Amino acid sequence: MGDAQALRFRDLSSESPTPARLGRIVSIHSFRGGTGKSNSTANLAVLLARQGLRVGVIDTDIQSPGIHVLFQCDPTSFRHALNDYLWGRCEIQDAAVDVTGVARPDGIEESDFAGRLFLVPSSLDAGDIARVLRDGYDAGLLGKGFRDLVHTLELDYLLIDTHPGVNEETLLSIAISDLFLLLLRPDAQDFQGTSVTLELARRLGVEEIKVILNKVPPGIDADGLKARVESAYEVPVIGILPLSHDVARLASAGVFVTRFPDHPWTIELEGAARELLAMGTLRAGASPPPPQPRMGQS
Amino acid sequence: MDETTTHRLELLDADRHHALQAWDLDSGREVSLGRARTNDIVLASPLVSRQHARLRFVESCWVIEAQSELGVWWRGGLRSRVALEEGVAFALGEHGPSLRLAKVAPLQVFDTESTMRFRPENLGILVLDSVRRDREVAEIVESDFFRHLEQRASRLRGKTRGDDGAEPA
Repeated sequence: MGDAQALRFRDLSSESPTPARLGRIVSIHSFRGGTGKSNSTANLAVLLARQGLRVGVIDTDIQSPGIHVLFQCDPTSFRHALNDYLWGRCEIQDAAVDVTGVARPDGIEESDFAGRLFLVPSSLDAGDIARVLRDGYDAGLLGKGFRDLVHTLELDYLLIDTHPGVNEETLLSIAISDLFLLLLRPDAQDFQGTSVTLELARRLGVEEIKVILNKVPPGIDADGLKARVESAYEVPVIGILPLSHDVARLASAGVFVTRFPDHPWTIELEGAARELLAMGTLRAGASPPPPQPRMGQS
Repeated sequence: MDETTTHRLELLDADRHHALQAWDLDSGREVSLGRARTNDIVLASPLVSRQHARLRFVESCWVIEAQSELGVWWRGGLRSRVALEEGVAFALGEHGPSLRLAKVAPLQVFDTESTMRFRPENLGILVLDSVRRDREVAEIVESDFFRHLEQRASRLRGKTRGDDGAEPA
Protein backbone atom coordinates (compact mmCIF):
# COMPACT_ATOMS: atom_id res chain seq x y z
CA MET A 1 0.00 0.00 0.00
CA GLY A 2 1.02 3.58 -0.48
CA ASP A 3 3.41 2.69 -3.26
CA ALA A 4 2.93 5.88 -5.19
CA GLN A 5 5.67 5.94 -7.76
CA ALA A 6 6.68 8.46 -10.29
CA LEU A 7 6.12 7.15 -13.76
CA ARG A 8 8.29 6.82 -16.78
CA PHE A 9 6.32 7.57 -19.88
CA ARG A 10 6.85 6.06 -23.25
CA ASP A 11 6.89 8.27 -26.28
CA LEU A 12 3.61 7.11 -27.76
CA SER A 13 4.02 8.97 -31.01
CA SER A 14 6.45 6.38 -32.36
CA GLU A 15 4.27 3.41 -31.45
CA SER A 16 1.36 1.76 -33.21
CA PRO A 17 -2.13 3.17 -32.53
CA THR A 18 -3.33 2.45 -29.02
CA PRO A 19 -6.23 0.10 -28.46
CA ALA A 20 -9.49 1.96 -28.20
CA ARG A 21 -10.23 3.20 -24.71
CA LEU A 22 -13.49 4.62 -23.47
CA GLY A 23 -11.88 7.97 -22.68
CA ARG A 24 -14.81 9.22 -20.60
CA ILE A 25 -14.35 12.42 -18.59
CA VAL A 26 -16.50 12.57 -15.46
CA SER A 27 -16.71 15.67 -13.24
CA ILE A 28 -17.75 14.99 -9.67
CA HIS A 29 -19.13 17.94 -7.82
CA SER A 30 -21.08 19.01 -4.78
CA PHE A 31 -22.69 22.31 -3.92
CA ARG A 32 -21.23 22.36 -0.42
CA GLY A 33 -18.26 20.76 1.29
CA GLY A 34 -18.62 17.78 3.56
CA THR A 35 -20.77 15.70 1.27
CA GLY A 36 -18.09 13.00 0.97
CA LYS A 37 -17.21 13.94 -2.60
CA SER A 38 -13.49 13.16 -2.51
CA ASN A 39 -14.11 9.95 -0.64
CA SER A 40 -16.78 8.80 -3.11
CA THR A 41 -14.57 9.80 -6.04
CA ALA A 42 -11.61 7.79 -4.74
CA ASN A 43 -13.75 4.74 -4.06
CA LEU A 44 -15.49 4.96 -7.42
CA ALA A 45 -12.11 5.15 -9.12
CA VAL A 46 -10.96 2.00 -7.33
CA LEU A 47 -14.14 0.12 -8.29
CA LEU A 48 -13.68 1.08 -11.95
CA ALA A 49 -9.99 0.09 -11.93
CA ARG A 50 -11.03 -3.29 -10.57
CA GLN A 51 -13.02 -3.82 -13.73
CA GLY A 52 -9.71 -3.92 -15.53
CA LEU A 53 -10.05 -0.33 -16.67
CA ARG A 54 -7.45 2.40 -16.80
CA VAL A 55 -8.64 5.18 -14.52
CA GLY A 56 -7.26 8.61 -13.72
CA VAL A 57 -8.26 10.99 -10.93
CA ILE A 58 -7.44 14.70 -10.99
CA ASP A 59 -7.68 16.74 -7.84
CA THR A 60 -8.82 20.11 -9.19
CA ASP A 61 -9.78 21.22 -5.71
CA ILE A 62 -6.66 23.35 -5.83
CA GLN A 63 -7.78 25.52 -2.93
CA SER A 64 -8.21 22.60 -0.55
CA PRO A 65 -6.61 19.46 -1.97
CA GLY A 66 -7.13 16.21 -0.13
CA ILE A 67 -7.88 13.19 -2.27
CA HIS A 68 -4.25 12.02 -2.22
CA VAL A 69 -4.70 11.10 1.45
CA LEU A 70 -7.31 8.50 0.51
CA PHE A 71 -4.85 6.94 -1.92
CA GLN A 72 -2.28 6.88 0.87
CA CYS A 73 0.20 8.96 -1.04
CA ASP A 74 3.11 10.65 0.59
CA PRO A 75 2.94 14.23 -0.74
CA THR A 76 6.71 14.58 -0.44
CA SER A 77 7.01 11.90 -3.14
CA PHE A 78 5.18 14.04 -5.72
CA ARG A 79 7.61 15.31 -8.29
CA HIS A 80 4.99 17.59 -9.80
CA ALA A 81 1.42 18.65 -9.10
CA LEU A 82 -1.43 19.94 -11.22
CA ASN A 83 -0.29 23.45 -10.29
CA ASP A 84 3.03 22.90 -12.09
CA TYR A 85 1.18 21.98 -15.27
CA LEU A 86 -1.11 25.03 -15.02
CA TRP A 87 1.93 27.26 -14.62
CA GLY A 88 3.71 25.72 -17.59
CA ARG A 89 6.38 23.93 -15.62
CA CYS A 90 5.59 20.41 -16.85
CA GLU A 91 3.28 18.32 -18.98
CA ILE A 92 0.19 17.09 -17.17
CA GLN A 93 1.23 13.45 -17.37
CA ASP A 94 4.45 14.33 -15.54
CA ALA A 95 2.28 15.09 -12.51
CA ALA A 96 0.53 11.70 -12.57
CA VAL A 97 1.46 9.11 -9.97
CA ASP A 98 0.59 5.43 -10.25
CA VAL A 99 -1.57 4.47 -7.27
CA THR A 100 -2.72 1.11 -8.67
CA GLY A 101 -1.53 -0.51 -5.44
CA VAL A 102 -4.55 0.80 -3.51
CA ALA A 103 -6.97 -0.62 -6.07
CA ARG A 104 -5.51 -4.11 -6.28
CA PRO A 105 -7.44 -6.48 -3.99
CA ASP A 106 -5.48 -8.41 -1.38
CA GLY A 107 -4.19 -11.72 -2.67
CA ILE A 108 -4.12 -10.64 -6.32
CA GLU A 109 -0.66 -10.53 -7.84
CA GLU A 110 0.45 -7.35 -9.53
CA SER A 111 0.88 -9.20 -12.82
CA ASP A 112 -2.69 -10.54 -12.64
CA PHE A 113 -4.29 -7.13 -12.12
CA ALA A 114 -5.14 -5.46 -15.39
CA GLY A 115 -6.58 -2.22 -14.02
CA ARG A 116 -4.54 0.92 -13.60
CA LEU A 117 -5.16 3.86 -11.33
CA PHE A 118 -3.42 7.23 -11.60
CA LEU A 119 -3.67 10.35 -9.52
CA VAL A 120 -2.80 13.90 -10.51
CA PRO A 121 -2.54 15.67 -7.14
CA SER A 122 -2.81 19.36 -6.38
CA SER A 123 0.03 21.03 -4.60
CA LEU A 124 -0.13 21.10 -0.81
CA ASP A 125 2.36 23.94 -0.67
CA ALA A 126 0.78 26.94 1.03
CA GLY A 127 2.50 29.32 -1.37
CA ASP A 128 1.15 27.43 -4.38
CA ILE A 129 -2.36 27.46 -2.94
CA ALA A 130 -2.10 31.16 -2.20
CA ARG A 131 -0.97 31.83 -5.76
CA VAL A 132 -4.00 30.03 -7.19
CA LEU A 133 -6.32 31.90 -4.86
CA ARG A 134 -4.72 35.19 -5.87
CA ASP A 135 -4.25 34.72 -9.60
CA GLY A 136 -6.64 31.92 -10.53
CA TYR A 137 -5.60 29.82 -13.48
CA ASP A 138 -6.39 29.31 -17.12
CA ALA A 139 -9.28 26.87 -17.20
CA GLY A 140 -8.70 26.38 -20.92
CA LEU A 141 -5.35 24.88 -20.07
CA LEU A 142 -7.14 22.57 -17.67
CA GLY A 143 -9.33 21.32 -20.52
CA LYS A 144 -6.26 20.62 -22.64
CA GLY A 145 -4.78 18.83 -19.63
CA PHE A 146 -7.76 16.49 -19.34
CA ARG A 147 -7.47 15.63 -23.00
CA ASP A 148 -3.71 15.10 -22.86
CA LEU A 149 -4.03 12.90 -19.83
CA VAL A 150 -6.70 10.69 -21.40
CA HIS A 151 -4.47 10.25 -24.45
CA THR A 152 -1.06 9.76 -22.89
CA LEU A 153 -2.25 7.44 -20.13
CA GLU A 154 -4.79 5.75 -22.42
CA LEU A 155 -7.54 6.21 -19.90
CA ASP A 156 -10.98 4.66 -19.90
CA TYR A 157 -12.18 7.06 -17.23
CA LEU A 158 -10.89 10.36 -15.97
CA LEU A 159 -12.60 11.42 -12.73
CA ILE A 160 -12.34 15.09 -11.83
CA ASP A 161 -12.66 15.94 -8.16
CA THR A 162 -13.89 19.55 -8.26
CA HIS A 163 -13.94 22.36 -5.73
CA PRO A 164 -17.33 22.72 -4.01
CA GLY A 165 -19.46 25.67 -5.00
CA VAL A 166 -19.73 27.42 -8.30
CA ASN A 167 -16.83 29.30 -9.84
CA GLU A 168 -15.50 29.80 -13.34
CA GLU A 169 -12.91 27.02 -13.26
CA THR A 170 -15.36 24.51 -11.85
CA LEU A 171 -18.07 25.39 -14.35
CA LEU A 172 -15.63 25.00 -17.23
CA SER A 173 -14.45 21.62 -15.92
CA ILE A 174 -18.06 20.53 -15.76
CA ALA A 175 -18.80 21.89 -19.21
CA ILE A 176 -16.12 19.85 -20.93
CA SER A 177 -17.05 16.59 -19.21
CA ASP A 178 -18.97 13.73 -20.76
CA LEU A 179 -20.77 13.19 -17.49
CA PHE A 180 -21.53 15.48 -14.61
CA LEU A 181 -21.98 13.57 -11.37
CA LEU A 182 -23.55 15.54 -8.52
CA LEU A 183 -23.23 14.41 -4.95
CA LEU A 184 -25.52 15.70 -2.23
CA ARG A 185 -26.91 14.90 1.18
CA PRO A 186 -30.63 14.64 1.86
CA ASP A 187 -30.69 18.11 3.37
CA ALA A 188 -32.70 21.17 2.41
CA GLN A 189 -29.72 23.43 1.74
CA ASP A 190 -27.93 20.86 -0.42
CA PHE A 191 -31.14 20.12 -2.28
CA GLN A 192 -31.83 23.74 -3.17
CA GLY A 193 -28.24 24.72 -3.93
CA THR A 194 -27.58 21.68 -6.09
CA SER A 195 -30.59 22.56 -8.24
CA VAL A 196 -28.92 25.82 -9.29
CA THR A 197 -25.64 24.13 -10.19
CA LEU A 198 -27.54 21.52 -12.14
CA GLU A 199 -29.41 24.14 -14.14
CA LEU A 200 -26.17 26.02 -14.91
CA ALA A 201 -24.61 22.77 -16.16
CA ARG A 202 -27.58 22.26 -18.47
CA ARG A 203 -27.22 25.79 -19.84
CA LEU A 204 -23.56 25.04 -20.51
CA GLY A 205 -24.58 22.10 -22.67
CA VAL A 206 -23.73 19.17 -20.37
CA GLU A 207 -25.81 16.31 -21.70
CA GLU A 208 -25.37 13.60 -19.12
CA ILE A 209 -26.07 14.46 -15.51
CA LYS A 210 -26.49 11.95 -12.72
CA VAL A 211 -26.92 12.22 -8.97
CA ILE A 212 -25.61 10.27 -6.00
CA LEU A 213 -27.12 10.84 -2.55
CA ASN A 214 -24.67 10.34 0.29
CA LYS A 215 -24.99 10.25 4.08
CA VAL A 216 -28.58 9.11 3.95
CA PRO A 217 -29.58 8.45 7.58
CA PRO A 218 -31.36 5.27 8.62
CA GLY A 219 -35.10 5.66 8.86
CA ILE A 220 -35.43 7.34 5.50
CA ASP A 221 -37.56 5.76 2.83
CA ALA A 222 -34.88 5.40 0.15
CA ASP A 223 -37.32 4.79 -2.70
CA GLY A 224 -39.35 7.84 -1.73
CA LEU A 225 -36.21 9.94 -1.52
CA LYS A 226 -35.02 8.76 -4.93
CA ALA A 227 -38.40 9.50 -6.49
CA ARG A 228 -38.47 12.95 -4.96
CA VAL A 229 -34.99 13.92 -6.15
CA GLU A 230 -35.53 12.49 -9.62
CA SER A 231 -38.80 14.31 -10.12
CA ALA A 232 -37.41 17.63 -8.83
CA TYR A 233 -34.14 17.46 -10.80
CA GLU A 234 -35.27 15.38 -13.79
CA VAL A 235 -32.03 13.40 -13.68
CA PRO A 236 -31.43 9.80 -12.58
CA VAL A 237 -30.23 9.00 -9.07
CA ILE A 238 -27.65 6.24 -9.47
CA GLY A 239 -26.78 5.66 -5.83
CA ILE A 240 -28.17 6.17 -2.34
CA LEU A 241 -25.23 5.75 0.01
CA PRO A 242 -26.13 5.22 3.67
CA LEU A 243 -24.82 7.41 6.44
CA SER A 244 -22.15 5.19 7.89
CA HIS A 245 -19.96 5.51 10.91
CA ASP A 246 -17.61 3.00 9.36
CA VAL A 247 -16.98 5.34 6.43
CA ALA A 248 -16.28 8.20 8.85
CA ARG A 249 -14.10 6.06 11.05
CA LEU A 250 -11.89 4.90 8.19
CA ALA A 251 -12.11 8.40 6.76
CA SER A 252 -8.72 9.24 5.37
CA ALA A 253 -7.00 6.05 6.46
CA GLY A 254 -7.69 4.21 3.24
CA VAL A 255 -10.07 3.20 0.53
CA PHE A 256 -13.32 2.03 2.06
CA VAL A 257 -14.41 -0.42 -0.65
CA THR A 258 -11.15 -2.31 -0.18
CA ARG A 259 -11.46 -2.56 3.58
CA PHE A 260 -15.20 -3.29 3.67
CA PRO A 261 -16.08 -5.12 0.44
CA ASP A 262 -19.44 -6.40 1.73
CA HIS A 263 -20.58 -3.21 3.46
CA PRO A 264 -23.92 -1.70 2.33
CA TRP A 265 -22.10 1.54 1.42
CA THR A 266 -19.73 -0.40 -0.86
CA ILE A 267 -22.53 -2.37 -2.46
CA GLU A 268 -24.50 0.77 -3.20
CA LEU A 269 -21.45 2.49 -4.74
CA GLU A 270 -20.84 -0.60 -6.88
CA GLY A 271 -24.32 -0.05 -8.28
CA ALA A 272 -23.34 3.52 -9.20
CA ALA A 273 -20.12 2.25 -10.82
CA ARG A 274 -22.14 -0.17 -12.93
CA GLU A 275 -24.29 2.74 -14.14
CA LEU A 276 -21.16 4.59 -15.22
CA LEU A 277 -19.91 1.53 -17.06
CA ALA A 278 -23.24 1.10 -18.82
CA MET A 279 -23.03 4.73 -19.94
CA GLY A 280 -19.54 4.21 -21.32
CA THR A 281 -20.72 1.21 -23.25
CA LEU A 282 -23.65 3.07 -24.69
CA ARG A 283 -21.57 6.02 -25.79
CA ALA A 284 -18.75 3.92 -27.18
CA GLY A 285 -21.28 1.84 -29.08
CA ALA A 286 -19.40 -1.31 -28.17
CA SER A 287 -19.97 -4.41 -26.10
CA PRO A 288 -19.56 -4.07 -22.33
CA PRO A 289 -16.04 -3.12 -21.25
CA PRO A 290 -14.01 -6.31 -21.52
CA PRO A 291 -13.06 -7.81 -18.19
CA GLN A 292 -9.45 -8.59 -17.39
CA PRO A 293 -7.07 -9.23 -18.98
CA ARG A 294 -6.92 -6.14 -21.12
CA MET A 295 -5.39 -6.00 -24.53
CA GLY A 296 -1.73 -5.18 -24.50
CA GLN A 297 0.28 -3.08 -26.87
CA SER A 298 0.81 -4.78 -30.17
CA MET B 1 -28.48 11.49 37.74
CA ASP B 2 -31.11 13.75 39.11
CA GLU B 3 -34.59 12.18 39.18
CA THR B 4 -36.10 15.24 37.59
CA THR B 5 -33.63 15.28 34.73
CA THR B 6 -35.16 14.27 31.46
CA HIS B 7 -33.20 12.67 28.67
CA ARG B 8 -33.35 12.16 25.00
CA LEU B 9 -31.74 9.64 22.70
CA GLU B 10 -29.87 11.10 19.76
CA LEU B 11 -28.95 9.47 16.47
CA LEU B 12 -25.51 10.78 15.54
CA ASP B 13 -24.05 11.93 12.28
CA ALA B 14 -21.07 9.99 10.98
CA ASP B 15 -18.62 12.45 12.42
CA ARG B 16 -20.40 11.98 15.76
CA HIS B 17 -20.58 15.66 16.46
CA HIS B 18 -24.18 16.44 15.99
CA ALA B 19 -27.51 14.72 16.29
CA LEU B 20 -29.48 13.99 13.15
CA GLN B 21 -32.55 12.97 15.01
CA ALA B 22 -33.64 12.82 18.64
CA TRP B 23 -36.31 11.09 20.67
CA ASP B 24 -37.44 12.30 24.07
CA LEU B 25 -37.40 9.60 26.72
CA ASP B 26 -39.90 9.14 29.50
CA SER B 27 -38.46 7.37 32.52
CA GLY B 28 -41.79 5.64 33.16
CA ARG B 29 -41.81 3.96 29.81
CA GLU B 30 -39.72 1.24 28.20
CA VAL B 31 -38.55 1.93 24.64
CA SER B 32 -37.87 -0.62 21.92
CA LEU B 33 -35.29 -0.06 19.18
CA GLY B 34 -34.93 -1.96 15.92
CA ARG B 35 -35.47 -2.15 12.22
CA ALA B 36 -39.07 -3.40 12.40
CA ARG B 37 -41.72 -0.73 12.07
CA THR B 38 -43.37 -1.92 15.27
CA ASN B 39 -40.53 -0.53 17.40
CA ASP B 40 -40.82 2.75 19.29
CA ILE B 41 -37.63 3.90 17.61
CA VAL B 42 -37.28 2.61 14.08
CA LEU B 43 -33.81 2.56 12.50
CA ALA B 44 -34.17 1.44 8.92
CA SER B 45 -30.59 0.26 8.55
CA PRO B 46 -29.56 -3.18 7.26
CA LEU B 47 -27.03 -3.25 10.08
CA VAL B 48 -29.77 -3.17 12.73
CA SER B 49 -31.80 -6.22 13.77
CA ARG B 50 -35.59 -6.21 13.61
CA GLN B 51 -35.82 -6.24 17.41
CA HIS B 52 -32.42 -4.97 18.36
CA ALA B 53 -32.60 -3.63 21.91
CA ARG B 54 -34.73 -2.31 24.74
CA LEU B 55 -34.10 0.84 26.70
CA ARG B 56 -35.36 1.04 30.31
CA PHE B 57 -34.94 3.41 33.19
CA VAL B 58 -33.60 1.31 36.09
CA GLU B 59 -33.17 3.02 39.45
CA SER B 60 -31.27 6.12 38.36
CA CYS B 61 -29.95 5.04 34.98
CA TRP B 62 -31.04 4.42 31.46
CA VAL B 63 -30.05 0.85 30.67
CA ILE B 64 -29.93 -0.66 27.21
CA GLU B 65 -30.40 -4.42 26.84
CA ALA B 66 -29.60 -6.13 23.56
CA GLN B 67 -32.22 -8.48 22.16
CA SER B 68 -30.17 -9.16 19.08
CA GLU B 69 -26.98 -11.20 18.84
CA LEU B 70 -25.42 -8.17 17.16
CA GLY B 71 -25.42 -6.60 20.61
CA VAL B 72 -24.57 -3.08 21.65
CA TRP B 73 -21.15 -1.63 20.83
CA TRP B 74 -19.94 0.32 23.86
CA ARG B 75 -16.47 1.57 24.70
CA GLY B 76 -14.74 -0.67 22.17
CA GLY B 77 -16.56 -3.92 22.88
CA LEU B 78 -19.82 -5.76 22.25
CA ARG B 79 -22.13 -5.86 25.26
CA SER B 80 -25.53 -7.31 25.98
CA ARG B 81 -26.39 -4.84 28.74
CA VAL B 82 -25.05 -1.34 29.30
CA ALA B 83 -25.89 1.37 31.82
CA LEU B 84 -25.65 4.40 29.56
CA GLU B 85 -23.79 7.55 30.43
CA GLU B 86 -24.73 10.97 29.19
CA GLY B 87 -22.79 12.04 26.16
CA VAL B 88 -21.08 8.71 25.53
CA ALA B 89 -21.83 7.29 22.11
CA PHE B 90 -22.82 3.65 21.61
CA ALA B 91 -23.82 1.73 18.52
CA LEU B 92 -26.41 -0.90 17.68
CA GLY B 93 -24.02 -3.68 16.69
CA GLU B 94 -20.39 -3.11 15.88
CA HIS B 95 -21.09 -1.42 12.56
CA GLY B 96 -24.56 -0.05 13.16
CA PRO B 97 -25.71 3.52 13.70
CA SER B 98 -24.35 5.40 16.69
CA LEU B 99 -26.56 6.90 19.34
CA ARG B 100 -26.05 8.91 22.47
CA LEU B 101 -27.96 9.68 25.60
CA ALA B 102 -28.25 13.41 26.18
CA LYS B 103 -29.66 15.53 28.94
CA VAL B 104 -32.54 17.75 27.98
CA ALA B 105 -32.13 21.25 29.29
CA PRO B 106 -35.16 22.49 31.26
CA LEU B 107 -35.71 25.13 28.61
CA GLN B 108 -35.04 24.04 25.08
CA VAL B 109 -33.14 26.74 23.29
CA PHE B 110 -32.60 26.42 19.59
CA ASP B 111 -28.94 26.11 18.84
CA THR B 112 -27.11 25.76 15.58
CA GLU B 113 -26.94 22.03 16.03
CA SER B 114 -30.66 21.61 16.07
CA THR B 115 -30.86 23.05 12.59
CA MET B 116 -28.76 20.10 11.47
CA ARG B 117 -31.12 17.59 13.01
CA PHE B 118 -32.79 15.43 10.46
CA ARG B 119 -36.20 13.94 11.01
CA PRO B 120 -37.23 11.37 8.43
CA GLU B 121 -40.86 12.33 8.83
CA ASN B 122 -39.79 15.80 7.72
CA LEU B 123 -38.65 14.62 4.33
CA GLY B 124 -41.08 17.31 3.30
CA ILE B 125 -38.27 19.80 3.83
CA LEU B 126 -36.76 18.45 0.61
CA VAL B 127 -39.11 20.57 -1.40
CA LEU B 128 -37.52 22.49 -4.16
CA ASP B 129 -38.23 26.20 -4.25
CA SER B 130 -38.20 26.39 -8.03
CA VAL B 131 -39.06 30.10 -8.09
CA ARG B 132 -35.97 30.86 -6.07
CA ARG B 133 -33.88 28.51 -8.19
CA ASP B 134 -35.06 30.11 -11.43
CA ARG B 135 -34.38 33.58 -10.06
CA GLU B 136 -30.85 32.63 -9.00
CA VAL B 137 -30.14 30.87 -12.29
CA ALA B 138 -31.45 33.85 -14.24
CA GLU B 139 -29.23 36.23 -12.30
CA ILE B 140 -26.19 34.15 -13.19
CA VAL B 141 -26.93 33.25 -16.81
CA GLU B 142 -27.84 36.82 -17.74
CA SER B 143 -24.49 38.11 -16.54
CA ASP B 144 -21.63 38.88 -18.90
CA PHE B 145 -19.57 36.46 -16.89
CA PHE B 146 -21.80 33.57 -17.82
CA ARG B 147 -22.19 34.52 -21.48
CA HIS B 148 -18.42 34.62 -21.76
CA LEU B 149 -18.26 31.27 -19.97
CA GLU B 150 -20.76 29.69 -22.36
CA GLN B 151 -18.64 30.68 -25.33
CA ARG B 152 -15.48 29.33 -23.77
CA ALA B 153 -17.22 26.12 -22.74
CA SER B 154 -18.50 25.46 -26.21
CA ARG B 155 -15.04 26.13 -27.69
CA LEU B 156 -13.33 23.90 -25.16
CA ARG B 157 -15.88 21.16 -25.60
CA GLY B 158 -15.33 21.17 -29.32
CA LYS B 159 -11.64 20.69 -28.72
CA THR B 160 -12.08 17.99 -26.13
CA ARG B 161 -14.48 15.94 -28.15
CA GLY B 162 -12.82 16.59 -31.47
CA ASP B 163 -9.96 14.56 -32.85
CA ASP B 164 -7.09 15.18 -30.55
CA GLY B 165 -7.39 18.89 -30.34
CA ALA B 166 -8.47 19.64 -33.86
CA GLU B 167 -10.69 22.69 -34.06
CA PRO B 168 -14.26 21.79 -35.01
CA ALA B 169 -15.27 22.80 -38.49
